Amino acid sequence: MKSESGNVRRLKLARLFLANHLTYFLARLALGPLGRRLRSYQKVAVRGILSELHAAFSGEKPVILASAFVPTELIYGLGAIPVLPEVWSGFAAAAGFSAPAVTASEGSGYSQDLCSFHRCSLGLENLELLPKPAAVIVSSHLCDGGRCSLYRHSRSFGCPFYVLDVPYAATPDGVAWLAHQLERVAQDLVLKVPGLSLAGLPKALAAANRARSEYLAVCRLRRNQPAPWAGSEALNYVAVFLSGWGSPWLPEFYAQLRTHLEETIRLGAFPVSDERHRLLWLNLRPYYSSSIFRYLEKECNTSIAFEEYSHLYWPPHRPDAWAESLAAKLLSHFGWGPIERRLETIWNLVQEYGIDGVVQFNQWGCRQSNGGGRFLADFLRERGVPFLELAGDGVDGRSSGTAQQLTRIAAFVELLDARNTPSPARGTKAIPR
Amino acid sequence: MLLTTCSYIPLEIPLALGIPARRLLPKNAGHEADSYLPRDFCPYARGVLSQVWAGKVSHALLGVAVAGSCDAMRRVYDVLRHYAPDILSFYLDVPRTQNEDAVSYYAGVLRSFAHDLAAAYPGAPPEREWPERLWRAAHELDILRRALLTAYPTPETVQGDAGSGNKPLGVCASVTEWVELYFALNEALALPGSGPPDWLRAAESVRSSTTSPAAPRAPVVLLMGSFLLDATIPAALEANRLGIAAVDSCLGWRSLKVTLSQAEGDIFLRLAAAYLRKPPCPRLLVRQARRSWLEELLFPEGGKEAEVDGVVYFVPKFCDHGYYESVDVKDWLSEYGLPFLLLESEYGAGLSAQMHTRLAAFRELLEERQGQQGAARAKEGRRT
Ligand code: SF4
Ligand code: SF4
Repeated sequence: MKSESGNVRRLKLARLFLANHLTYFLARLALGPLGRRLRSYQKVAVRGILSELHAAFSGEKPVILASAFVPTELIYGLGAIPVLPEVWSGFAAAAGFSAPAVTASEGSGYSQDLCSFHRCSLGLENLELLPKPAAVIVSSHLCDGGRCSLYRHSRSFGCPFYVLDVPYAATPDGVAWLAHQLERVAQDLVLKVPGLSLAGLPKALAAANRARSEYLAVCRLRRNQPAPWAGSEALNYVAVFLSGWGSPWLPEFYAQLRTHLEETIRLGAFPVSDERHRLLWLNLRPYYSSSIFRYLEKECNTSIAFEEYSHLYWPPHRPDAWAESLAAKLLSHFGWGPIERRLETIWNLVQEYGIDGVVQFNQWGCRQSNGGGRFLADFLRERGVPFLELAGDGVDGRSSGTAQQLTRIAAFVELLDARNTPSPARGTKAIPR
Repeated sequence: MLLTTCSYIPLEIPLALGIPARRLLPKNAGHEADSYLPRDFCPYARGVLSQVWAGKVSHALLGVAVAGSCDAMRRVYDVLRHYAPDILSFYLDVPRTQNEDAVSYYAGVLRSFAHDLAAAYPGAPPEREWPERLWRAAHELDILRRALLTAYPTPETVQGDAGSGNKPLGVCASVTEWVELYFALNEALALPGSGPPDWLRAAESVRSSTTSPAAPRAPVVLLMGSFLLDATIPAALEANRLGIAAVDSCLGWRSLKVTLSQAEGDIFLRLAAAYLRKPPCPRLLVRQARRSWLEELLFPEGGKEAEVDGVVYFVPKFCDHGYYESVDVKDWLSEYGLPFLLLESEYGAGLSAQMHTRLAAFRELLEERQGQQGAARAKEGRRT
């Protein structure tokens, strides 16, 4: 009862915060003094996200909802603010709103067997915590739940729904078809949504390219042993990685992150200084408070050296050929196409980041990722790299199973300890891009 | 033999190339797939693998054509390639939209599929013969589809005549029997070297006569969903005296209403258009077309009053498309004031006591509503 009224209070506050001009103004002011406790890259992200929230909730710029793998360069380039409901579900879990949101969506009839990132976003809509979109864009690849739940958002908000039908393979026909679809969607959006134009697309792609160069430098620094960035924090910034491309603040964010990592290495101030093992983390993480990362980092001296969803997988954009570039980005995702693409990517990451063991967080209901479990187990076993499938839920804390996760992690770390020889991946390999 | 996993894959193509082919319709999920697929994968995906592995079909020149229906089926394709290398596996990239561009892309996919089949199976006819053979196969399959539609126990308008002009299959006594006939006809398709008359004869000969006809005055429902899995669901409905006006499932009308254009032109383009534009299934991202199809089933004559008393929606457990669409359908139906029942389960679901209890309760609800509507109409009649 008590926690329910606490939830209601928090929800009211969140709505008030999101919809009020003054709160953004005050939040930006507070960034000055409070910002001293934030690192430089964190400040850039907070400032960037706050200004977008303000623009979105004040109606200053149109909002476009998009599924997780739609290139946000398209949305920024058109002059809109991208909102990725799945990312918002992660925020909601971190802020403690996911429980009422998930309950609200279940009340509307959504099954508990669906991925909670979507159930939560549908609940956030019910709780009036999503900004009103001018349109919704989904890509047809990778996540069935994403496109279905976003269709629902488009219906509830009564706004146009666009589908990018992504071919299975990057054949010349497939690329041309997808590029043509991107052009059509962009042109139609410009006609239907006041304030949008095609003029900003080359600039957004150029910004994404600048961010890309900085980001590749960040990746190179993350190969350092010990790891200079805590994977638990990096997993939070997957949100930025998914939704920031094309924004004016992303190049600065990665530039500051790069400086921070350089400093960390120079000072030897590593999050896990006595690093015993380095893990590669697949899929997402629990975004509500969970003890598993503290346990890994502090008690097991084990770093999450890199994450699958932090992997930059697309070639540099050609700003003068935006549609083809974005088509190439969509088609290059390692999770799309035959499973070998994902296996090869993971193997490259294992080698690049000197990985000792791989953990796949099996998000309940995430069929696209969990379906790779058997292949990964066999593939990594053949290469002598231990692999752990960790069942859990990133958003719905009711099904967290933390105790069981800790037991499994402990057993996995013991296995890593027992292997006296360093993993074959401990020798590092150049990032071939 | 070639087995296909989706109603968007034209059987015309293997049949035209002389390869016996049918839709892979497992009778259960089996356990053979358990160590390859996670536990939250749907029973159909598991059933496909189990059926292939359980040795129920010979692996000699066995091919499986998998469509990218969903995240689960993409993995099924990967599992087949990796863990069953003796099986020929093919992937068909079925678009999720229906516009001209999608059709022309799909035509290319179908053409490549034909080439891949011709390369994998010995004895394929030369390419110059393909258009003629494809056309013939399309005509033969059309006879079967129409025969099945006319065998449906509820009056159903089929445009044009059904081949000979006579009904080639007797009308089924119940929808359960009709679903069994559907399975039988599908099995018969893969009989090597035969044509429509043999297929129809083979199907008729296994027709079950154990089911009793649906009670004529029962409340009538539309049975819909992503994939019906088996005949136990219609059997449970009929055992609970619910009439089934139509079956909107992959295992039902959606697969039968394929119309190949008679116009001249590239046969692959015509096939692509015919299949992509058949009544859409929940996996296609064309919800308006889906809703129009649903309305066609609810209001067959375009009238204002629905021809059914309610809708039963069946979702195989863990089918995301079905889960999401069921909520949309429930909302659409509330606009028409039509009751809705969601059933979510595995193979053999219709045999469970719990399912029967839920269906009996649903029937009571529908009967109560019928009673209230009848009383309201009588009152209205007295007034006028
Ligand atoms: S975790 Fe998986 S199912 Fe859930 S949103 Fe992400 S990709 Fe989709
Ligand atoms: S029933 Fe649903 S989950 Fe299963 S194969 Fe069909 S679309 Fe995919």
